[in-house]
Amino acid sequence: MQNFSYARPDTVDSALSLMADHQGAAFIAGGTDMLNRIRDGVSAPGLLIDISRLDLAKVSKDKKRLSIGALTTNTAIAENHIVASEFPLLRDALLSGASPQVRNMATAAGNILQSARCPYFRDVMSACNRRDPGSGCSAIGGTSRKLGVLGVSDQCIAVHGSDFAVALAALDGTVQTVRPGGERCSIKVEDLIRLPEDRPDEATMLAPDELILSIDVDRALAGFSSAYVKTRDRASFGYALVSAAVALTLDEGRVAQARIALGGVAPKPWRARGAEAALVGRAPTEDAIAEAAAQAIVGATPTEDNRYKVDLAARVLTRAIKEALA
Amino acid sequence: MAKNDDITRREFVEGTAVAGAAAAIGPSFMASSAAASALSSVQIVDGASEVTLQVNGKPAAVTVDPHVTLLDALREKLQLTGTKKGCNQGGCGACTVWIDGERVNACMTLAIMQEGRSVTTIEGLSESDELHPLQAAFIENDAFQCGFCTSGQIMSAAKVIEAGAPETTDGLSEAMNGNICRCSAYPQIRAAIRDAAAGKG
Amino acid sequence: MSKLTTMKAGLARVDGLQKVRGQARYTGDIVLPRMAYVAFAGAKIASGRVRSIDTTRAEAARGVIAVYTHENTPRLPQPGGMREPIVALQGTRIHYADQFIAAVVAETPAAAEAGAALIEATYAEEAPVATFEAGLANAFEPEAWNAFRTPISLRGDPDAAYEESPQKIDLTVETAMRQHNPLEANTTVAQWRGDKLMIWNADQYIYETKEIAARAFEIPEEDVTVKVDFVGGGYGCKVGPWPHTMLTAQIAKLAGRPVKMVLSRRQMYSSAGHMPATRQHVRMGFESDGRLRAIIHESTSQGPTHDPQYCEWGAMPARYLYDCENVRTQHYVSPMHNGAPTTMRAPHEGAGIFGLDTALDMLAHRLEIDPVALRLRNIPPRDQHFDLPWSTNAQADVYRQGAEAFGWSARNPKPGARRENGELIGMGMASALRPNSKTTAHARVSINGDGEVIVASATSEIGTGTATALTIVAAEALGVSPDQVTVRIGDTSFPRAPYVAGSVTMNSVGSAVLIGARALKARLAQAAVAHEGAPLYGADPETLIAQDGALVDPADPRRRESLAAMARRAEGGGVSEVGTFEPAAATSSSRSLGAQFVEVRVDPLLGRIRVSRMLGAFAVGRVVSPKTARSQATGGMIWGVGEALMEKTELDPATARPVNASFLDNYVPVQGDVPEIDVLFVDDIDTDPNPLGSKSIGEVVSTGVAPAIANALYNATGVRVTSLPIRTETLLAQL
Repeated sequence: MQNFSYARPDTVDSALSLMADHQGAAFIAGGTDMLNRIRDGVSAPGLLIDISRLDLAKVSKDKKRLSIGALTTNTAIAENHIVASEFPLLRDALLSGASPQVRNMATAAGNILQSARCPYFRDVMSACNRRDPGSGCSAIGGTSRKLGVLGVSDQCIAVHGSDFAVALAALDGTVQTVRPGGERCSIKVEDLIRLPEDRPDEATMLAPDELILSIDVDRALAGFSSAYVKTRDRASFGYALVSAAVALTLDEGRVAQARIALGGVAPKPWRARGAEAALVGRAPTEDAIAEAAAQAIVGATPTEDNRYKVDLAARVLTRAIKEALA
Repeated sequence: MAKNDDITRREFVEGTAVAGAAAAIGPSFMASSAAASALSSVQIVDGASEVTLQVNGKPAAVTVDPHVTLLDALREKLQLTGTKKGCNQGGCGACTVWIDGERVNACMTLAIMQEGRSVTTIEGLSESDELHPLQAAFIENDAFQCGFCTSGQIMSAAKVIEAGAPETTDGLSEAMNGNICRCSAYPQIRAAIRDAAAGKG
Repeated sequence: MSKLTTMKAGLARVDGLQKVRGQARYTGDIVLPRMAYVAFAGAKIASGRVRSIDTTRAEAARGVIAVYTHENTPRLPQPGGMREPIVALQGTRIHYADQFIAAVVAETPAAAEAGAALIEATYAEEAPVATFEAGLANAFEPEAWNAFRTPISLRGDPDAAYEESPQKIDLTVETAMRQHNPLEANTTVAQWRGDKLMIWNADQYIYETKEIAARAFEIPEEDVTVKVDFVGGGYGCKVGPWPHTMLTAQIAKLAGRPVKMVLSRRQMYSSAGHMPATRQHVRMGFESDGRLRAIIHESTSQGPTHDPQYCEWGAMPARYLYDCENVRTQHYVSPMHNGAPTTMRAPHEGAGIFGLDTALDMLAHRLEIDPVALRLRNIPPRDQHFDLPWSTNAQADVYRQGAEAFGWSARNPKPGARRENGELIGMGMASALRPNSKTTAHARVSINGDGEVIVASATSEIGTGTATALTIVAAEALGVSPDQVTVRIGDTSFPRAPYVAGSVTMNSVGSAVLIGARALKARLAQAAVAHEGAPLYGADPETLIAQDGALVDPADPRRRESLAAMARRAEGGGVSEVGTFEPAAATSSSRSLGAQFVEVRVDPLLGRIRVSRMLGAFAVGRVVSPKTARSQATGGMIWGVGEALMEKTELDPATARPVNASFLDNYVPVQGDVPEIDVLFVDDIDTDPNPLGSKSIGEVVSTGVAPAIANALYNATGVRVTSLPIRTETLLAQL
């Protein structure tokens, strides 16, 4: 791992100031993604600003929102009673990810901001537009069975590896950010992670000096029937081949509201609005579910290696809808 | 550099704060613009520095560069080599230790980040010469072969028991999925945890 | 009748305390005064030459002591005998991606790794052979390794017999390139004291490492010592030295300091071997009742372009698993630009059985014969390949007893017929096979005046329970309790032992210990009966019995003398004998056999496969150490689950770079993949091949698992999978 300087500010302000003053600095919190990035040579920060001890690790709620402090560990969120009672989808997604040890370290914001899953991105000897703009994409035409089928471009077909972000995208979750000077923003998780288009190196909407303070979810969505279904190459401790987050409500036998997102298929958590539209207002019959599943994968552009993901995504979503209804 | 649609996808937040964020941030942030003078106190560590940890109940100082992981500091500086380096990327669990009582991968954090924290390794699991019940149960059930993952398995399993070991095989397995055993003593590991949890170890 | 084994029975591992306390010392745990650390930088390309290397940034990095490349590394004599013949830093030629192009020595592991990442090189790149298919254009017939591992075999007239067979199966199967992936990466610590070299190496064959190091550094063998206390898993990738071992020793010399080198996980994919992929064409001809008439098994193994020596002998099982008079086997190698392969648990038979037992399952289904019955119909009465009688043949027992214990009779032969809770459930089985292997071994057995028995042999503990099993052998032979026995291994100053691989250790080193212990007992007895005034004076030394730490005269059990007392009387206060096991010329043929039974549960919507139950029945001779042998069996069976369902090293089809060289991208089984497992050892005591009556265990137990799972999957779903690993997409495409 390349060396770097290190600072541990004890306030958000000083963290932001340090970032503003040091080009090429990076925040580190849980470290579970950042350290592998540095080890792999994907990132080379000159200064690591350790924000792990900032007071941003609480889960709270008010009338409108559930707010998850950016530094809350994945475990702490999953074990939080408010999360469990109001948004079990978040818990289920979190618990399907990584290992207990990693979940004890990884933070809420770090989970969402984790770098793309693509083996070529992590091998600095391979061409990768995301890591090294203009160098090409080794994955296209390479080994791509785990890579993206939706929202990909001819520059990049990486997938986003977070389960938490998939559930958040389904629930219209937002991140609350701050920049030096105090400018605050609210960004939808769904938008925060960018599609690669022609600039896969611009992975997120965050400015380099922007810090996430919390992740918020509107409590109007609390108590929805939900399910998180994930397939992978082994029983556990693996990234999704495909996952689906579903939250819905029924009214007199018809789907009143539906929130659906897919994971493992796209460079960002993939909100499937077409699938939602196919369900809302209808009884959740086999036909309706099948149509929703079909809508979810409209526009897929798979490679030869990952063509199966298109069909699998429809199947996983079918299962998730049924589990949410059960 | 920023894409055009950024502005439309950002909601600029007016006023004091989003309710939740305010609760989470605390007073230091609320004092935002006035805090600049305090910044000079943030020390930037460049090069080797002395980091003091509480390791197995005792203070332990190591002189390390910032990029030295907790794992390397434990093994190479403190010679606590019971904690193993397996994959060095958070993928195997051989380096499982406790930080402030939580099991974590020692390869996935920097020594300097853990300054002042309490770190427990396999060497600190049992304070006396007596075996921890899990250690005894691992021997009785032959819950290891090469033994390389064993420290991590035991440090992980102790936390599973502490939290109330799940009764079902699926539940117990899920709690232990972060610890790979390439020799694959998995059924024996489950049996050992069950024995230790039941006080049979 | 054999019974299911339990994990609690048998002597606990003698090194268990050290292991559960974190006190077992592995090579990487060694910290020496003034120790420096080495990390290697690897080549970007898989084929071509290094044109230039820029080391300035690395040399300037904090903590870096020195950088070595081909430009400043003294030439080593090519020592020969290594699995990877190319010692890096000796020239500019690149044969595979990540081949070492520089070594960085630094004050900490982190600084060495950081320095290695700063090495910059330019290359004259040539297009690599990056796929199995591309290699086929240059496929060749490999050279024989010995009388058994040969490229071609022929008996009878298989082509005509196949053509005339009323039932034919013609099948092509593929097995994947896989990594050993021990949790302990290959590690070397080297230290020079003057001209004497000390190497600690994560090693399954320390004696070979010693000999090769002596050749490489042109020093006498007695000036090289190789040690290893514990090996953190090997499975084949630590059998003797790799180039990194020699380079580390060389760098220790150049740096004038002891150095430690741990391969990165990525480097484990290029520089410490792999199991090559195979493609097998199996044609089997049968009589209408399922008896085999012909087997034609052609197997092509992935190989490296730079070294013709390794072949995955995938057609082996056809020669000696089933009764068939007309057999042709043929092997080829398809050379690609990748690092050298090496044996990996369980080589050759492991891959080959997938083809053979998949074909048998297809026939069983077609003829509506039970798969167990079909195999019972094809048990060879003798070794038809070498035309020798079997030493023992418990093949029918493993099928029958395994089937009964597993509850095989409950299997519905109709695919897709059993469904519970939305899951499709199927059962499958396959045979397990490996040679019963043995080779020359030596062990010193000593006793001192405290009655402590010390066994010393230059074998090593890789987790198979060697020290525990040798303790049992010595304790039983000398009639002492196991806690009076100390086993000292992992040091080349002890008598020579073979590789701890190929399932040879109990047969070979165990037999050497038995022979040594018997010799020790005989010598003690001779001295005791000749010593005037001693309790056994005048007794018949041949009849004395060793029990309870003493020799006893069976004619008068009151006449007894403790071994300790005898040792005290001996010159020097102790007695020592070296036992040598030398395999005799074969008058019979011996196999390790088994039958694997598997139940799978399939989620038909998601294509998710779960192994829900496993049972292995094995005929592996006398089980010396029940606890560790059983763990070998369960571990080996789970190893087969990884082979069947997840493990595959992916190479980029253009660059030949390993793509998923990481625990995060290439999966091995985790706890949740593993069901409860039953193991049954059938009676099979076989003292013909070796005096201990043991047989090879460590590898046979992982053979046959993959076809058993594939066959169970067929029974569950009607989907026949012929390519490993079995993946969601393969299943979904056919469901």
